[in-house]
Amino acid sequence: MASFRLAVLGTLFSTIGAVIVFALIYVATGQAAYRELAPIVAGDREDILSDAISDQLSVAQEIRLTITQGADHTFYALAGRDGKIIVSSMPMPDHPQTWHSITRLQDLSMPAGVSRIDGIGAPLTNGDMLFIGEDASVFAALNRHIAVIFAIVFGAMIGLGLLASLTIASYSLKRVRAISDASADIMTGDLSRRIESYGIDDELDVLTKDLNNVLDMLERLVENARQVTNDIAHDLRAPLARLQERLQRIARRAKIHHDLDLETALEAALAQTDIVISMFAALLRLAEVEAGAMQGGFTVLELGELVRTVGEEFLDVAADEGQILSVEAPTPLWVRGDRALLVQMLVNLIENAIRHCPSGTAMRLSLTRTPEGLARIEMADAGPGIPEAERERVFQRFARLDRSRHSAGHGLGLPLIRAIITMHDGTVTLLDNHPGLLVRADLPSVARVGSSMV
Amino acid sequence: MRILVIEDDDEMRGFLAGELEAEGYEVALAENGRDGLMQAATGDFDLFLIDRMLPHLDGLGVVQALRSMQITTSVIMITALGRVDERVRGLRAGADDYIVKPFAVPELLARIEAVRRRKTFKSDQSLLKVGDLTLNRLTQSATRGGQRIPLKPREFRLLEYLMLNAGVVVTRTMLLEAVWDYHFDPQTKLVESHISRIRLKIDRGFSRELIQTIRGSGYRISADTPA
Repeated sequence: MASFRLAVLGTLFSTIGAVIVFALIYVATGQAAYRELAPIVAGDREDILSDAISDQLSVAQEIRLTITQGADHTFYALAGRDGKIIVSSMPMPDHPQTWHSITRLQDLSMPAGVSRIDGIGAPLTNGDMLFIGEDASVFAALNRHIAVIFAIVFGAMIGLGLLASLTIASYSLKRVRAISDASADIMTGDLSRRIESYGIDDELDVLTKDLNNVLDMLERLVENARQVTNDIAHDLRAPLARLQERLQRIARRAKIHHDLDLETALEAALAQTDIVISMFAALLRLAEVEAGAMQGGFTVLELGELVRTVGEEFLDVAADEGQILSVEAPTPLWVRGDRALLVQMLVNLIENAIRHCPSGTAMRLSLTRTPEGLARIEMADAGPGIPEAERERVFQRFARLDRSRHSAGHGLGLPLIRAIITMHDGTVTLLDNHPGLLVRADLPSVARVGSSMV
Repeated sequence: MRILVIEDDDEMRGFLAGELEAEGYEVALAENGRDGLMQAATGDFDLFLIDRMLPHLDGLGVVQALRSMQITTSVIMITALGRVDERVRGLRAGADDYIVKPFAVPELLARIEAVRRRKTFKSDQSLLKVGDLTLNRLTQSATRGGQRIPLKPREFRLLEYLMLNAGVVVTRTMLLEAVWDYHFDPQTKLVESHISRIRLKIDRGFSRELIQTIRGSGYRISADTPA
């Protein structure tokens, strides 16, 4: 809206400018009228006074005579010392001894057909006040014409200016919005998104190019970081397989030689390699999901059945840990997705709760439909929860809270949940369950295939 | 039993040969797809162990070629970690099973035995029997000693898989894949919890325990007294 305000301000300034120019012209025409009419008024005065003397009439009589003879352009107002009008063909202004421009607007008792009278008054020797005015309708008309022309010219100017600035404003607004839309996309994880350049080398384009360069760098860095983890995982597969293989070879030899101590030690070592391998499997799965390589397998599936099936698998597991798990998915909701990945996501969600909650904790897995029509999966527990400051960090690979470092698990559960949900155009948020943790995943739902929308 | 191992990694090939021979299998080796296919087509084998990534002709190509030659010998594919689609492609090409590298030896041995059993065992019968335990696959119910045992759907599928592989060790990974269709490693005791529930149902009150835990390997259902 800043550019809109700028447009209004610009228009305001040109309006003020127009008013000033008009005022200057108005003053200038006023002065021109004075210069032209003042000598005429002075001449008329001399004429009327000298005519009165030569006609042996009083000034009042002479004026009356002149009026009746039909003076078209000159008007008189004669008042006595007491201010009473003696004779007049026009109204007597207040303070008559200054130059006056009397318009019909100011005084409705103006003579017919005259729109403006300019003139000045002066006292006679007997103390009477004589005001003489000249018809200045021409100047009034001129002023009117100038005003009309100004109104048209400046109206058009302001109108066009406003239109132009609004166009520019909405244009730059559109581009700024494009930048902020792109930023929003980037913040949701689409680092490959770029801002469209208009190729016109203006300030916004320069800014766009700079931003795109920053994004290039950011994407490279993130890609590097991701690549490094993936490379490590890939490159370590072979040596890891060898390590496991050799340990197993030694274990077999130990068995043959009945070396029980060595056998036990090797079993522990093999258990450790199993953990590393399981971690690698999860890491590679994460890399695969993040690369979006599996989107080809998307079908429309019913999430309620999936949530109930997976949830029920873990009722006994939770019970064995002394926990109470409940599953609620009463309404069928259809989503587009990869069945195997959504199952894994649900398993991770449930296992995350089971592994981080102590015995006796109640937990609930639910699927509901939000008013906006999203499919909302929630895993709520009354366990220890995650402090608000830590909630973003736990989505990072291998990020674990200090107190959970002792517990088993590869620290890839939440990152994988987020990767799978993101791949399905959904969002994951961690909330406070008062007490405990509430993991909320919202997925876009679709109408059931072959059935009408409700 | 003769096994042909087609594997390009020298160390891995040697390791497999050693482990399999130690188990009493007769082992032949090939180090690339072309030689492997040649040996497989001309020799007399009971099982092929084929790496997915091979020089000259890759594992998928070898399996496809064998199947197109009407050679129906069992195939276990060895695939690399972190390639989910490889599994589907391997099975589609005609492999009987697959195993993800790196793997534990008991896992490989269990899969070899399971594949071999599947070849000889008629898996389409509606009644499965182990000792006095009978599983009716049509009604999805079990009886032991004439006593009816109610089973949840997942418990039925777990028991069914164990009984189809009666006498053979099945690993935790095999159960996860076959019974749950989970191709990842759960971080809780999912399999253990279900096995313990089934044990409670079928073994409690009977002197002979049918389901045995094989340490470091997995589980086995058998009416024979465990060794």
